[in-house]
Amino acid sequence: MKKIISNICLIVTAMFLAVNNSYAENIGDEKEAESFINDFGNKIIKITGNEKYNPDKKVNDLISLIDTAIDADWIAKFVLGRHYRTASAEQKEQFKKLYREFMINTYGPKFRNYKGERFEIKSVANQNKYFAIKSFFYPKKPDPAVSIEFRVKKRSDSNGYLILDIIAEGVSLIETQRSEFGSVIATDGMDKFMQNLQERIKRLKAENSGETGAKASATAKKK
Amino acid sequence: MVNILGPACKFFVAVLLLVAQPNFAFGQDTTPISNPVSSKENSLEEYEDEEDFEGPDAVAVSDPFEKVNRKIFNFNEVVDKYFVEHVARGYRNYIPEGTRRSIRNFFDNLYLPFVTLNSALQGKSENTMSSFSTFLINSTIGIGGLFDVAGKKGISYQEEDFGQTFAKYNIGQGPYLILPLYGPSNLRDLTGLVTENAVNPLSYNALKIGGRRELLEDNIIFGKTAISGIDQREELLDIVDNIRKDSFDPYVTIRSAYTQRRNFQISN
Repeated sequence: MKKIISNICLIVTAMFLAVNNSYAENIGDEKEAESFINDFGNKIIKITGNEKYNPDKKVNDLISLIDTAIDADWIAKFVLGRHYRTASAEQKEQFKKLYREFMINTYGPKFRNYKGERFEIKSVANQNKYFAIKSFFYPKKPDPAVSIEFRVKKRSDSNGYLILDIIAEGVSLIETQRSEFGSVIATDGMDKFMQNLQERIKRLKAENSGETGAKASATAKKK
Repeated sequence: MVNILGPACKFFVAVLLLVAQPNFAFGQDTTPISNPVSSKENSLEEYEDEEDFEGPDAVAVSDPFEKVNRKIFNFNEVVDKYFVEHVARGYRNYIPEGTRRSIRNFFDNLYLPFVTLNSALQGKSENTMSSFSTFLINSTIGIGGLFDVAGKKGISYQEEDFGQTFAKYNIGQGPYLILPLYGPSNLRDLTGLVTENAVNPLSYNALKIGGRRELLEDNIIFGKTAISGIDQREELLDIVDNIRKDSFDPYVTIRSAYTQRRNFQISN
């Protein structure tokens, strides 16, 4: 009997260790994750603060920075929530593509007019399934600093890190989008929602190129 | 203006006074909040097979009055788009930034006794002291709160209100509510707001602090509330613009963001 109990104890301990190890392996190294976010934050400050860049370049650089830094495929699954299970394979694939385009075209241009001075990481916490990295963007005074928490994990192919969520002043981007998308899909259905998403992306792309194009032509005229 | 428009308008103004100091999705808080609740239905694990990342706690919002809330939300949107937003934009464009900052400092300072009281009720001794000393310093050297002298000296505090205090005493958030001319709230936050107005000597003053029910004239209270409301709406101009532009369902976006934001303030 004692043997059985001790064997069970061993198995449970082994399972516990295995689970812990697998988490540790998956999410990567704390220092590397910190340096990834440090790099990301400082790049945003550098791109937006560079007065030599024209608006087109700023938007393009921001879009490609966000595109390479976020785990858009995983977030796409998360924001669909329970609708992900019921979506067809085709819908899932299409949504992932649309979501990536939606994210980069919505959020890239938003930073264009941002005037940040400094980016600073306050703390890094290992949450087993991801690193929670608390940071502050310091705009030019006298505006108050903005608190942003990044949730980060090592890529599945181990080639760098990816952002899973951005939490601004307590508001999570992916939680908010999940509520919003869930409500729209429940009312309109998946197909209609994806159609709306497609139209939105089209509009955003036109706006992005239109705005910067108009500014560029105005600058050219001045010259 | 109140007298010219008669009793109907007085009621309207009373509602406005009671619910003013708008606290939209991310605003400076004057209002109370909601409880972080993990919802099984929303849990990532339910549909996530291979991934380890669980995500932040799903935010469950009880919204049994959604139909009515949406109607009030639409009404608020119309009032905002055709009136309040324009006033706030004019305020931003025509009043110099320094003046606007002083006005904000003044209202922040006026609210500080509530921060001190609620910090004490929540047992946050450091915040009680820092908010109290900010109030003393800014009311005197800062000329009635127009200048944030304490802030420049490095004294900082966190906003606390009755809603957060109720949450600390384990009172649930109750149903989500959209208040006319005010915006998002919930039963706990609304109760906090009513409590705040009842004990405020410069508002309804139910406790008769100072010996009288009305320490200020109606017109002054109305003016104070209106300016404070415009100041807070100005602060939210960009955020509301973004939500209107980006969201597929602004009602749900604001509901989720408001609840998360309040949970964050409570857990801080």
